[in-house]
Amino acid sequence: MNNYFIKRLILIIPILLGVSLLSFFIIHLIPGDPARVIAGQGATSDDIAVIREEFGLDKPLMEQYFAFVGGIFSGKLKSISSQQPVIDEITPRFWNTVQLATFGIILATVFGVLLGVIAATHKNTIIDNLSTGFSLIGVSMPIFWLGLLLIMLFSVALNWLPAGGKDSFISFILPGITLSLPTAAIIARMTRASMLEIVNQDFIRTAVSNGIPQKTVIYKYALKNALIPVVTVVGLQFGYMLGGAVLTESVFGWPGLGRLVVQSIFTRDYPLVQSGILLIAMSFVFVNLAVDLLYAAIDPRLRRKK
Amino acid sequence: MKYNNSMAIYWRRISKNKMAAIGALIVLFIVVIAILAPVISPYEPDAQDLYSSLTGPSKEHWFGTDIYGRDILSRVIWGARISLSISSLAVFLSILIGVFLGAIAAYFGGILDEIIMRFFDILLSFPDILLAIAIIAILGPGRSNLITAITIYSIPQFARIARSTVVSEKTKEYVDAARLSGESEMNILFRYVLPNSLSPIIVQGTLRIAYAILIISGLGFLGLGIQPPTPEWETDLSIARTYLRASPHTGIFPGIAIFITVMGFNFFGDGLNEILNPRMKDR
Repeated sequence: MNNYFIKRLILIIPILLGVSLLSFFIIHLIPGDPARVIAGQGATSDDIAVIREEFGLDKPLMEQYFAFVGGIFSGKLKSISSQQPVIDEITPRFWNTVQLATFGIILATVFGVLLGVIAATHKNTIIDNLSTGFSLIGVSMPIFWLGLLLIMLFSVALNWLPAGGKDSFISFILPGITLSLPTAAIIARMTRASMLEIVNQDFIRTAVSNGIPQKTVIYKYALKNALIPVVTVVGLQFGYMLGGAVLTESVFGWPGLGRLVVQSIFTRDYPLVQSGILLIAMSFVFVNLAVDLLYAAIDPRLRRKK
Repeated sequence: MKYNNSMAIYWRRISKNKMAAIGALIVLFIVVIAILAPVISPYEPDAQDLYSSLTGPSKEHWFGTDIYGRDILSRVIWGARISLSISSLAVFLSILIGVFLGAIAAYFGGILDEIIMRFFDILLSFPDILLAIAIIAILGPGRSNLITAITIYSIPQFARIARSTVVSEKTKEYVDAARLSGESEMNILFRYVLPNSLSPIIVQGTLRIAYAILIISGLGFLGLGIQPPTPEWETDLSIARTYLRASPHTGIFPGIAIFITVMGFNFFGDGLNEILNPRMKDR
């Protein structure tokens, strides 16, 4: 059992290394001299020299890489536009994204599991078809368009909810719904498939033939087992939300990290772009790790295999 | 002749599967619109008419006009070309590259396999749209860079499919038989082993086009995609956002276009999946 955990933990080292290298190389992969890229158009050769010095772009790549990763956490790496340490810029924005993603994943899980169970227990009825239809709509909807429609309806036409910003709990509602719809659709499909598989197994048939009420069988025995693969999907989707929230954040003017990264691309604030992308990717890696470990913890079959 | 027969069988199966049939019809419809754009669009997509800026749907302009007085219907029609061509080209390229790399990794195994697949693990560690954003940050916005971003973003998916097929097939007897009869390794891999992954790749390719359109639309919305004034659904949407309050129609029609197209590809892909993998039927 411990073997699996240790193996999985060791596996993230090369991934983290790769992710940080890729983020580091963003500035070097841009065609042209990195110092000139950062300096922007109209910079004099003196400006470029200053920037080359300031960002250590004249040093060996290896040294630059360590300065980049170390600089993020020590506060030495500064944003170009605000001159503040990137870590101070990023942390509050990241926190906002995490809050939104957490709210989104809770909504998506509750709604998705409910819908999936109902669909599975009413297989091939109109309810099932409606639920499948919802799932297909959910994964086909451009998320920002959904956001726009919700704003048009609830903010512009009805004036019930704010169209943007992050002030109180009320401002979570529309972005949360927007962010959670595709995920709810995926979770609903997964729950339905998983439920149908479990319901056909022997232990459920035994439970039914022993006269245990159907409701108890479904919610106590079947659902518990059916949720194991769903847990993985929920975890992965939470990870995706951290990065994918960028669209929702942009529609609703949510002060999240993804939006900061996109804004920084436009202002050519590359230290912010690089460290923002790195932080999101790193948290995705750790969320995946947590999901894998959790999965092994709740499904003993996986542990024994290793 | 044999080819014709199997095509006929597929068509019969597709027409029997309601979802695949609806999806196929929608996709066909959008493709036809894209091809016929110059013929059927009532106006030039770029023709400005500042006197009729932001007018609602009318007899002259079915979908209304945008802020520059451009006909939204015409822009939606021309936008189909852009979205379809970029997404299908990117998915096609990523199938070529991904399948090749995945197949080689699995067939030759060892250190090559480790290097290729670990690299893809790293690419997949960038959640969702973020990898595409990172690539655009490097290359800058624009049409060919958008294709590059979507291609790189989709390669690992196809590599994994090809890899898993090859891993399970390469130990089978027909491979040994081919080798004994003197076929070259490359021949065995690409002529005998790889065709087994064709159906999952077709299914995944169809679904990926849907996803690519969503990603393209997302990037366009963020201002990282096709740059104005090219008629493109999502860039138009992001412009429309500014005028939502006064003229909601500018935001509705391009959105519907994306939504229907993506849904068509999703229906088609899901239906194909049921047809090609009968075991999945009850899922």
